Amino acid sequence: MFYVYGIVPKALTGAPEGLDGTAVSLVPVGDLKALVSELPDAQYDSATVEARLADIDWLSPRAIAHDAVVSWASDRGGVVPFPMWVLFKDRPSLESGLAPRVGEFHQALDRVTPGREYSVRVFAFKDRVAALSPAVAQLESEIEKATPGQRYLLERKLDALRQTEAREVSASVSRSIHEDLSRHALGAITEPAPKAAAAAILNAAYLVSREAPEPFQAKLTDLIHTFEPMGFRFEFTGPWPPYHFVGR
Amino acid sequence: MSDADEPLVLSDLISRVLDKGVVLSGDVILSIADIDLIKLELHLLVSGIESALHREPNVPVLPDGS
Repeated sequence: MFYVYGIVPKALTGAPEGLDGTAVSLVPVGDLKALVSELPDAQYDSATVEARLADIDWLSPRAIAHDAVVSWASDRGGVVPFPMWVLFKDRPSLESGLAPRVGEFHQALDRVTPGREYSVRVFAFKDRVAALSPAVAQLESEIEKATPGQRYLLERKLDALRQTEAREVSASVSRSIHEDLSRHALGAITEPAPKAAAAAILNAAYLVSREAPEPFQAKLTDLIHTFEPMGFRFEFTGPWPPYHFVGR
Repeated sequence: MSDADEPLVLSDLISRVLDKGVVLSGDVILSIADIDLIKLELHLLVSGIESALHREPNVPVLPDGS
Protein backbone atom coordinates (compact mmCIF):
# COMPACT_ATOMS: atom_id res chain seq x y z
CA MET A 1 0.00 0.00 0.00
CA PHE A 2 1.17 3.51 -0.81
CA TYR A 3 0.23 5.96 1.92
CA VAL A 4 0.20 9.66 0.99
CA TYR A 5 0.80 12.38 3.62
CA GLY A 6 0.41 15.38 1.36
CA ILE A 7 1.71 17.34 -1.60
CA VAL A 8 4.77 19.59 -1.62
CA PRO A 9 6.67 21.72 -4.13
CA LYS A 10 9.12 19.92 -6.36
CA ALA A 11 12.18 21.53 -4.76
CA LEU A 12 11.70 19.85 -1.39
CA THR A 13 14.12 17.00 -0.61
CA GLY A 14 14.82 14.66 2.28
CA ALA A 15 12.05 13.67 4.66
CA PRO A 16 11.74 12.33 8.19
CA GLU A 17 10.42 8.85 9.03
CA GLY A 18 6.74 8.21 8.55
CA LEU A 19 4.17 5.72 9.87
CA ASP A 20 5.77 2.77 11.69
CA GLY A 21 9.19 4.31 11.11
CA THR A 22 8.98 3.74 7.37
CA ALA A 23 10.96 5.87 4.94
CA VAL A 24 9.08 8.73 3.30
CA SER A 25 9.87 9.26 -0.35
CA LEU A 26 9.05 12.20 -2.57
CA VAL A 27 7.20 10.88 -5.59
CA PRO A 28 6.79 13.22 -8.58
CA VAL A 29 3.18 14.11 -9.34
CA GLY A 30 3.07 16.43 -12.33
CA ASP A 31 5.42 19.26 -11.39
CA LEU A 32 4.84 18.68 -7.68
CA LYS A 33 5.77 15.88 -5.30
CA ALA A 34 3.79 13.60 -3.03
CA LEU A 35 5.09 12.52 0.40
CA VAL A 36 4.66 8.75 0.31
CA SER A 37 5.38 5.71 2.51
CA GLU A 38 5.07 2.14 1.38
CA LEU A 39 3.23 0.10 4.02
CA PRO A 40 2.66 -3.66 4.26
CA ASP A 41 -0.54 -4.60 2.38
CA ALA A 42 -1.72 -7.04 5.01
CA GLN A 43 -1.71 -4.46 7.81
CA TYR A 44 -2.99 -1.52 5.82
CA ASP A 45 -5.76 -2.72 3.57
CA SER A 46 -9.00 -0.76 3.99
CA ALA A 47 -10.82 -3.33 6.07
CA THR A 48 -7.98 -3.77 8.56
CA VAL A 49 -7.42 -0.06 8.99
CA GLU A 50 -11.11 0.65 9.35
CA ALA A 51 -11.43 -2.02 12.00
CA ARG A 52 -8.61 -0.50 14.04
CA LEU A 53 -9.53 3.17 13.74
CA ALA A 54 -11.35 3.23 17.06
CA ASP A 55 -8.34 1.73 18.84
CA ILE A 56 -6.75 4.84 20.20
CA ASP A 57 -3.52 3.15 21.22
CA TRP A 58 -3.07 1.99 17.65
CA LEU A 59 -4.22 5.24 16.07
CA SER A 60 -2.32 7.77 18.20
CA PRO A 61 1.27 7.01 17.19
CA ARG A 62 0.20 6.87 13.55
CA ALA A 63 -1.62 10.19 13.77
CA ILE A 64 1.44 11.74 15.42
CA ALA A 65 3.69 10.32 12.69
CA HIS A 66 1.38 11.64 9.96
CA ASP A 67 1.38 15.09 11.55
CA ALA A 68 5.16 14.99 12.01
CA VAL A 69 5.73 14.40 8.28
CA VAL A 70 3.30 17.13 7.25
CA SER A 71 4.71 19.51 9.89
CA TRP A 72 8.23 18.84 8.68
CA ALA A 73 7.13 19.96 5.21
CA SER A 74 5.20 22.92 6.59
CA ASP A 75 8.29 24.09 8.51
CA ARG A 76 10.10 24.25 5.19
CA GLY A 77 7.43 25.91 3.07
CA GLY A 78 4.13 25.05 1.51
CA VAL A 79 2.34 21.74 1.91
CA VAL A 80 -1.11 20.50 1.01
CA PRO A 81 -1.88 18.16 3.92
CA PHE A 82 -3.98 15.10 3.21
CA PRO A 83 -6.15 13.60 5.89
CA MET A 84 -4.97 10.22 7.18
CA TRP A 85 -5.60 7.08 5.22
CA VAL A 86 -5.17 8.16 1.67
CA LEU A 87 -3.94 4.78 0.44
CA PHE A 88 -3.26 3.54 -3.07
CA LYS A 89 -2.66 -0.06 -3.94
CA ASP A 90 0.35 0.63 -6.19
CA ARG A 91 2.45 3.38 -7.77
CA PRO A 92 0.47 3.57 -11.05
CA SER A 93 -2.82 4.01 -9.19
CA LEU A 94 -1.18 6.65 -6.99
CA GLU A 95 0.05 8.56 -10.01
CA SER A 96 -3.18 8.27 -11.95
CA GLY A 97 -5.17 9.14 -8.82
CA LEU A 98 -3.23 12.32 -8.06
CA ALA A 99 -2.17 13.60 -11.47
CA PRO A 100 -5.60 15.01 -12.44
CA ARG A 101 -5.58 17.09 -9.24
CA VAL A 102 -2.27 18.86 -9.81
CA GLY A 103 -3.93 22.15 -10.82
CA GLU A 104 -5.99 22.12 -7.66
CA PHE A 105 -2.92 21.30 -5.54
CA HIS A 106 -1.13 24.29 -7.05
CA GLN A 107 -4.00 26.58 -6.14
CA ALA A 108 -4.03 25.24 -2.60
CA LEU A 109 -0.25 25.64 -2.28
CA ASP A 110 -0.44 29.23 -3.51
CA ARG A 111 -3.08 29.94 -0.92
CA VAL A 112 -1.44 28.36 2.13
CA THR A 113 2.30 28.68 1.55
CA PRO A 114 2.52 32.24 2.96
CA GLY A 115 1.01 31.18 6.27
CA ARG A 116 0.88 28.70 9.10
CA GLU A 117 -2.15 27.61 11.05
CA TYR A 118 -2.86 28.52 14.67
CA SER A 119 -5.79 27.37 16.70
CA VAL A 120 -7.58 29.53 19.26
CA ARG A 121 -10.22 28.33 21.65
CA VAL A 122 -11.96 30.56 24.18
CA PHE A 123 -13.89 29.45 27.26
CA ALA A 124 -16.12 31.50 29.54
CA PHE A 125 -16.42 31.17 33.30
CA LYS A 126 -20.17 31.66 33.29
CA ASP A 127 -20.69 33.26 36.68
CA ARG A 128 -17.97 35.83 36.19
CA VAL A 129 -19.13 36.60 32.69
CA ALA A 130 -22.76 36.96 33.83
CA ALA A 131 -21.57 39.42 36.47
CA LEU A 132 -20.52 41.75 33.64
CA SER A 133 -24.13 42.24 32.64
CA PRO A 134 -25.82 45.43 33.94
CA ALA A 135 -29.15 43.57 34.06
CA VAL A 136 -27.67 41.01 36.45
CA ALA A 137 -26.15 43.72 38.65
CA GLN A 138 -29.49 45.54 38.74
CA LEU A 139 -31.39 42.44 39.80
CA GLU A 140 -28.79 41.63 42.43
CA SER A 141 -29.25 45.02 44.03
CA GLU A 142 -33.03 44.57 43.97
CA ILE A 143 -32.61 41.27 45.77
CA GLU A 144 -30.58 42.94 48.50
CA LYS A 145 -33.45 45.33 49.21
CA ALA A 146 -36.19 42.72 48.83
CA THR A 147 -38.22 41.24 51.63
CA PRO A 148 -37.54 37.56 52.43
CA GLY A 149 -40.80 36.68 50.69
CA GLN A 150 -39.90 38.40 47.45
CA ARG A 151 -36.35 37.21 47.61
CA TYR A 152 -37.03 33.58 46.74
CA LEU A 153 -38.70 34.40 43.44
CA LEU A 154 -36.16 37.03 42.56
CA GLU A 155 -33.31 34.63 43.17
CA ARG A 156 -34.81 32.10 40.81
CA LYS A 157 -35.21 34.86 38.27
CA LEU A 158 -31.58 35.76 38.84
CA ASP A 159 -30.41 32.23 38.05
CA ALA A 160 -32.22 32.29 34.73
CA LEU A 161 -31.00 35.77 33.95
CA ARG A 162 -27.38 34.79 34.68
CA GLN A 163 -27.66 31.96 32.18
CA THR A 164 -29.06 34.04 29.34
CA GLU A 165 -26.78 37.00 30.01
CA ALA A 166 -23.69 34.75 30.15
CA ARG A 167 -24.70 33.32 26.79
CA GLU A 168 -25.25 36.73 25.24
CA VAL A 169 -22.08 38.29 26.59
CA SER A 170 -20.12 35.20 25.49
CA ALA A 171 -21.55 35.31 21.99
CA SER A 172 -20.69 38.95 21.53
CA VAL A 173 -17.18 38.52 22.98
CA SER A 174 -16.64 35.49 20.73
CA ARG A 175 -17.66 37.50 17.65
CA SER A 176 -15.46 40.40 18.57
CA ILE A 177 -12.39 38.24 19.27
CA HIS A 178 -12.84 36.41 15.98
CA GLU A 179 -13.23 39.65 14.03
CA ASP A 180 -10.12 41.13 15.62
CA LEU A 181 -7.98 38.05 14.98
CA SER A 182 -9.32 37.60 11.43
CA ARG A 183 -8.16 41.10 10.56
CA HIS A 184 -4.58 40.03 11.32
CA ALA A 185 -4.72 36.67 9.54
CA LEU A 186 -4.53 35.51 5.92
CA GLY A 187 -7.42 33.16 6.53
CA ALA A 188 -9.85 32.42 9.33
CA ILE A 189 -12.35 29.70 10.00
CA THR A 190 -14.63 28.83 12.90
CA GLU A 191 -16.08 25.41 13.51
CA PRO A 192 -18.10 23.74 16.25
CA ALA A 193 -15.89 22.75 19.18
CA PRO A 194 -15.19 19.02 19.55
CA LYS A 195 -17.07 17.16 22.27
CA ALA A 196 -14.07 17.22 24.55
CA ALA A 197 -14.12 21.03 24.48
CA ALA A 198 -17.83 21.51 24.04
CA ALA A 199 -17.95 24.48 26.41
CA ALA A 200 -15.79 26.61 24.12
CA ILE A 201 -17.45 29.87 23.06
CA LEU A 202 -15.01 30.22 20.17
CA ASN A 203 -13.24 27.45 18.29
CA ALA A 204 -11.27 28.88 15.41
CA ALA A 205 -8.25 28.36 13.17
CA TYR A 206 -6.24 31.17 11.64
CA LEU A 207 -3.76 31.14 8.80
CA VAL A 208 -1.06 33.53 10.00
CA SER A 209 1.73 35.00 7.89
CA ARG A 210 4.94 33.06 8.41
CA GLU A 211 7.03 36.13 7.51
CA ALA A 212 5.19 38.53 9.79
CA PRO A 213 3.24 36.78 12.55
CA GLU A 214 3.82 39.67 14.99
CA PRO A 215 0.59 41.62 14.40
CA PHE A 216 -1.46 38.49 15.05
CA GLN A 217 0.62 37.64 18.12
CA ALA A 218 0.29 41.16 19.45
CA LYS A 219 -3.47 41.21 18.90
CA LEU A 220 -3.94 37.83 20.56
CA THR A 221 -1.83 38.91 23.53
CA ASP A 222 -3.89 42.08 23.74
CA LEU A 223 -7.16 40.16 23.68
CA ILE A 224 -5.95 37.80 26.38
CA HIS A 225 -4.97 40.72 28.61
CA THR A 226 -8.34 42.33 28.00
CA PHE A 227 -10.64 39.35 28.37
CA GLU A 228 -8.98 37.02 30.87
CA PRO A 229 -9.58 39.38 33.79
CA MET A 230 -13.26 39.47 32.75
CA GLY A 231 -13.68 35.72 33.10
CA PHE A 232 -12.60 34.28 29.76
CA ARG A 233 -9.85 31.76 29.22
CA PHE A 234 -7.84 31.25 26.04
CA GLU A 235 -6.29 28.09 24.68
CA PHE A 236 -3.86 28.40 21.92
CA THR A 237 -1.94 25.87 19.81
CA GLY A 238 0.28 26.03 16.77
CA PRO A 239 1.93 26.33 14.43
CA TRP A 240 0.09 23.57 12.62
CA PRO A 241 0.29 22.65 8.96
CA PRO A 242 -2.60 24.36 7.14
CA TYR A 243 -5.08 21.51 7.71
CA HIS A 244 -8.08 23.85 7.82
CA PHE A 245 -7.19 25.88 4.75
CA VAL A 246 -6.77 23.44 1.88
CA GLY A 247 -10.23 22.07 1.33
CA ARG A 248 -13.70 21.67 2.68
CA MET B 1 -16.52 22.47 33.32
CA SER B 2 -13.14 21.32 34.56
CA ASP B 3 -12.92 18.49 32.04
CA ALA B 4 -13.73 20.78 29.17
CA ASP B 5 -11.09 23.14 30.45
CA GLU B 6 -8.28 20.71 29.71
CA PRO B 7 -6.48 21.50 26.50
CA LEU B 8 -6.50 18.53 24.20
CA VAL B 9 -3.52 18.77 21.99
CA LEU B 10 -3.37 15.13 20.97
CA SER B 11 -7.11 15.11 20.44
CA ASP B 12 -6.79 18.22 18.29
CA LEU B 13 -3.97 16.64 16.36
CA ILE B 14 -5.97 13.51 15.68
CA SER B 15 -9.11 15.35 14.66
CA ARG B 16 -7.02 17.47 12.30
CA VAL B 17 -5.26 14.58 10.62
CA LEU B 18 -8.41 12.51 10.36
CA ASP B 19 -10.92 14.89 8.95
CA LYS B 20 -9.14 17.95 7.64
CA GLY B 21 -6.88 18.40 4.68
CA VAL B 22 -7.59 18.33 1.01
CA VAL B 23 -10.48 16.14 0.03
CA LEU B 24 -9.95 13.44 -2.56
CA SER B 25 -12.79 11.73 -4.25
CA GLY B 26 -13.04 8.04 -4.93
CA ASP B 27 -12.44 5.06 -2.74
CA VAL B 28 -8.93 5.80 -1.60
CA ILE B 29 -10.07 7.35 1.66
CA LEU B 30 -11.47 5.23 4.40
CA SER B 31 -14.53 6.25 6.24
CA ILE B 32 -13.63 8.13 9.40
CA ALA B 33 -16.84 9.88 10.27
CA ASP B 34 -17.78 7.74 13.24
CA ILE B 35 -14.64 8.05 15.31
CA ASP B 36 -15.40 9.03 18.85
CA LEU B 37 -12.70 11.43 19.90
CA ILE B 38 -13.90 11.67 23.46
CA LYS B 39 -11.66 8.78 24.54
CA LEU B 40 -8.67 10.93 23.78
CA GLU B 41 -9.36 13.04 26.82
CA LEU B 42 -7.47 10.48 28.83
CA HIS B 43 -4.33 10.99 26.86
CA LEU B 44 -1.73 13.66 26.62
CA LEU B 45 -2.92 16.92 28.10
CA VAL B 46 -0.69 19.86 27.55
CA SER B 47 -1.47 23.53 27.91
CA GLY B 48 -1.99 25.19 24.55
CA ILE B 49 0.70 27.76 24.95
CA GLU B 50 3.19 25.30 26.32
CA SER B 51 2.55 23.11 23.34
CA ALA B 52 2.97 25.99 20.93
CA LEU B 53 6.33 26.75 22.46
CA HIS B 54 7.20 23.10 22.37
CA ARG B 55 6.38 22.83 18.72
CA GLU B 56 8.48 25.84 17.86
CA PRO B 57 10.79 26.73 20.72
CA ASN B 58 12.47 29.67 19.00
CA VAL B 59 9.37 31.67 18.27
CA PRO B 60 7.26 32.16 21.38
CA VAL B 61 3.90 33.09 20.04
CA LEU B 62 2.85 35.08 23.04
CA PRO B 63 5.81 37.20 23.99
CA ASP B 64 3.99 38.91 26.89
CA GLY B 65 1.08 36.59 27.44
CA SER B 66 0.76 34.04 30.15
